[in-house]
Amino acid sequence: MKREEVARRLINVMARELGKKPDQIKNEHHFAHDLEADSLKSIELVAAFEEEFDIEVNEEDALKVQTVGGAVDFFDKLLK
Amino acid sequence: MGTLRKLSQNEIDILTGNGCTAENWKLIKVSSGFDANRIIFTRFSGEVIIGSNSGSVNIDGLVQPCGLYRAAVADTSIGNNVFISNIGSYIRNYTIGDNVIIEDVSVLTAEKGAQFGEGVQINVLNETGGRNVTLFKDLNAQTAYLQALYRHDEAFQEKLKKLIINYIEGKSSDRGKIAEGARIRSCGIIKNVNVGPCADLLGALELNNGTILSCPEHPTVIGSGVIIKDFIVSEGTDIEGGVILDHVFIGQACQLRKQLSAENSLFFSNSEGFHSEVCSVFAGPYSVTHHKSTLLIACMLSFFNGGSGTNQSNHMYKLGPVHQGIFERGCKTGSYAYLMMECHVPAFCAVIGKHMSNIDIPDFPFSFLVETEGKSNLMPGINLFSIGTVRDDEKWPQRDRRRAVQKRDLIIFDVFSPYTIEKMRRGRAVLQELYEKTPREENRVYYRGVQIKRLLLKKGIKYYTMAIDRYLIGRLMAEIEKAMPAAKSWTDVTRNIKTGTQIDNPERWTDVGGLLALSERVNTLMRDVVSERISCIDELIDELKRIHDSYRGDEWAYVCFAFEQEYGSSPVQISPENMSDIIKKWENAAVSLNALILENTKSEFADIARISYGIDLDSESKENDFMAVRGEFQTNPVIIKLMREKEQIRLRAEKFEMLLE
Repeated sequence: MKREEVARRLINVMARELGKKPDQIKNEHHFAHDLEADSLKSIELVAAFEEEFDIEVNEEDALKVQTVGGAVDFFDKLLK
Repeated sequence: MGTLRKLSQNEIDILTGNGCTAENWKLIKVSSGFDANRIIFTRFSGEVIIGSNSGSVNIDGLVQPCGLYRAAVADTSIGNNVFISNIGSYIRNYTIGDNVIIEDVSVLTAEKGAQFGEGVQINVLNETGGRNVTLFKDLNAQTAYLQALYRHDEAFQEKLKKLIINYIEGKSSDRGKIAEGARIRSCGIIKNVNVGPCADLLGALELNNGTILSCPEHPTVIGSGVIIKDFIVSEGTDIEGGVILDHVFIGQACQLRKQLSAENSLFFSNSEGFHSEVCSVFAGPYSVTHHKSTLLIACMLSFFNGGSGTNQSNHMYKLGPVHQGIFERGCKTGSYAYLMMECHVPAFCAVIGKHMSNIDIPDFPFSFLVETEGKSNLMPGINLFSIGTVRDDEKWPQRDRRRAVQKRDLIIFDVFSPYTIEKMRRGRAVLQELYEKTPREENRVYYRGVQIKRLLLKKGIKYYTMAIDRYLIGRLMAEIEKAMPAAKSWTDVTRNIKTGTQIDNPERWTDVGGLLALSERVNTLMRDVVSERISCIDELIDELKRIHDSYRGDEWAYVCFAFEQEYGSSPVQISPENMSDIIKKWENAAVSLNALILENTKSEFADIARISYGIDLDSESKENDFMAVRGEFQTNPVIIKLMREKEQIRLRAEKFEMLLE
């Protein structure tokens, strides 16, 4: 899967889970600071990403990711 | 006190000269060491006994001669080396032990037929009295729980009531007692109150119909502005600062301060209550409420921490205040958390927000219950990796303040126990079923008053499995470690592991006011009460102690049972090959939980945690301010401990792998 496709699907999931429009979510956005995704919301996001790509991720590593761009990098690497 | 004698004429002359009077001097008896010169302006009525008063007492650094000064004393026995001074009205019908100080007290009286708090009915959970608990001196969290919670068994309740009545009648005396070493100073009315050894009553406004248990190892303190009616207070408890209590039992080493008010409530050992209002609450061991505007009402708690503004409603304007709630052990409520009764909140659950549905989810321990847009959302298993839960496991045994020789409440502190593990196994099965039957299009499922995000069903299953694996395999590993030194081979190891005791329903556990116990053992105890094999309260308490002492054996029986169900093999028959896979499972679970806890703890040092530090300062100074106040992530003791644990998990797994090779 291409990186752009990974990014598009991740942002769609984030938009759905965080109640935002996809174009409101930017690569540089910090989950906690900019997207109001606290630690509890982050767990839900990880669950949603897992379902989107039908994979199970190492949760402790996934929760270390703090930005939208970081999430794209994380899943892009994983899906390759 | 030794041999008593009547007063000599010379002594009567001295007393009269000192401004003393008596209805009948012949009714005054004294022991050797009595000095009439130390009785001044005292009026005697009825039979009075006075011990040696040749000694002295130290009051706030001032040495004062023992004796009676400006007092009225009626029908009272006074021990050796007692100092009594400035009694506003009178001391009547008391036995006062040796080395007691009573100074500036309005009234100290015991009426004929006084019960001293025993027999008082406390309406816990149900304000209208459906679960009333009868007070007696040896009440503990377990005997109170048996009275309040097992109402379904009429025969048991009837026999239990008889045991309590026999206990009260057998030990009662309608003469008040101030035991040796007690100090009662600057107090108001003290009526029908027994005071235990070395108790310190300083500035209490009113104490009526109660017993203050105390001991030299852990004196009880009742301080300024306190009003308590119809009560028993246990050893080592500290009540001060305008606390108002009515119809209460206060267990050992509790701290009630800062204008707390409570009625019809039981507080068991190590509980703390400041500021708040408490009504019809069964506050098991380690229940804590510290804040103004917090109301705890009609509920059962233990190992609980109430946030500010926490409250519940038990009165739905229908049949009266009859509604009740259970917070299982280890719950915490956030600021302004509200729960509508009836509710049953699972163990180690964090409650945040306002919950307007009747929540009934006992099988989802270690969860977050969070209100979002007016709905109650359950996040199952999320609290497993909260650093707060890890701290709970360590802090409670360390914070046991009880110093009395007899520790009344029987407590099993374990956070992870057959009780919580079996609940997680049941909860996991429910989550699995919900996950399987919920279509992917559904965002949420509804279950017994809460909604659960469909995505979190799978997470909950995963987290519970991790905790179950870590516990069950970890317990087996501990048994193997015990068996290893004497073993030469794997066969020796498994042979040396004890099989679990044969018990009916090893998976059924209950939490009897802080005592985790097999339900079967509690049922047997209840049957023994009904059959009168247990025929007095002392025997009942001894049996409860036996249940407490059998916990580790019963826990192992549970582990054997659950292990076989989880991994398809009995711990005592497991092959090295199976064991190798199981050890990997344990290592993965333990490492993952450790990492998640560590990750959770990191948020305490994240950028957001630094907001408000370094007010008016530049960014470097802000950073330095945070460091000075909160310290560094790497040097935080909790973090260091978690990092070490991670290493220990790996080393332990490696050690087992080597053994299996």
